[in-house]
Amino acid sequence: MDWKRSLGSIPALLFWTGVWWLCAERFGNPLLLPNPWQVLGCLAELASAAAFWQTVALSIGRILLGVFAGTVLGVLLAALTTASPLAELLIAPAMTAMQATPVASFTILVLIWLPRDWVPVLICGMMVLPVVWNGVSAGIRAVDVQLLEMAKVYRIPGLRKFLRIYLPSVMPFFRTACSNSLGLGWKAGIAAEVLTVPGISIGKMISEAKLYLMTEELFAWTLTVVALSLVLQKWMLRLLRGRKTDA
Amino acid sequence: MLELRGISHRYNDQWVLRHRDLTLNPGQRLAIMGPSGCGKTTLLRLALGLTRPTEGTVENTFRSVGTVFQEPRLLPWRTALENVNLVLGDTRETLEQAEACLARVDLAGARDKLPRELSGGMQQRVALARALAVKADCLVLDEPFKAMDGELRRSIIGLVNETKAAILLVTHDEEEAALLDCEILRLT
Repeated sequence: MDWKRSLGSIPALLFWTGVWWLCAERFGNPLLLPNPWQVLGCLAELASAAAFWQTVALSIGRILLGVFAGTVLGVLLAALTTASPLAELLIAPAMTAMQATPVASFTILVLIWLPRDWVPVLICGMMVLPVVWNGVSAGIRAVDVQLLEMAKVYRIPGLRKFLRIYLPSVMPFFRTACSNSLGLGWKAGIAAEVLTVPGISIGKMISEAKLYLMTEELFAWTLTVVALSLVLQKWMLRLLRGRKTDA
Repeated sequence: MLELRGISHRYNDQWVLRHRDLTLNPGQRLAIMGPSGCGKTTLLRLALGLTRPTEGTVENTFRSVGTVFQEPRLLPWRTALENVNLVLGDTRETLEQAEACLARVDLAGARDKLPRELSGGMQQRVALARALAVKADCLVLDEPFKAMDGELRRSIIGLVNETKAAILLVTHDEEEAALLDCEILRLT
């Protein structure tokens, strides 16, 4: 049960909040480390303004667009590379390179070519793409050959074979890839926002809070990022679990 | 008609079949027998077009083929009924027909069970129901009664006996071949 697991994590949350509190008391300087109450107070104040929600909505929009584009492209490329050894030969090294390149390098490079509002979308997509490609490729390769042989003997048409054999076999791999890539995409997207400071974005707020030494606000925005990451990941998993497939 | 002419097949450097001919005419019943590793299953795979022969040709003019592999090969995420219905068109309209096929192998009560909830023998009967459902004019059966015993086995063999389809059967059991009135081809 999800709520039982959530309840189980409360003691750990209380413990680490206590550690944070003690450290803040030890420092005694909110500019270096504000205590949890100060951060929550700041967050409540931020959240009471419409601009906060607009900022959050735009950042989520950018990142989800990037995740969606990366996922669609990842699935299409996985289908292509499992069907064609030549495509695999060409695309696999590009995916490895994409996974190995730091977000900061990509972001600076892409900033030369794209308007700053679009950089986080592209960075997010580029982080998601290899994860989804990898997962879906593994899923397609794991499809039971014996079932495909059975389908061949009974001349089961392509669409039915896709819906009844391929899709249920690949779905568990796709779910895992989506869950992993959303967290990754979210972090990369926010990092790209911090580096490119698009018009209205969480990244810009974090960057400005750091610049003007508004540590409480910096913590409040970081807390928002963490909370949104958890919520989005749960939402994505629920969405994928809710999809009616045979798996 | 199914005709395998001058068939030879090898896996890596190991020949499993050399210069074999086999003809199965409409309505004919043929049992392939022989020790393990003599190429019985390979011969069936060649007949089904699942393996390309190293040498020789395979010609299959039967309209449709139903098969039971050594393993049941059921979709693990679909119920017994849905597994049979899959080969019938997978529509609501064909469900009744699929249900009747399951009833023929005495599995009406297991229609909503997933393969993992069925015993090995029951899974094999679902596979047999699937093979019979398509009303094929050729049945290719690889030890289909292996996981069944006693009265049930005899009754399922009786069910297969009712079909007018040509049968290509792999078995280790002379009694099965005799009950199905099969000619015997021995491989060595």
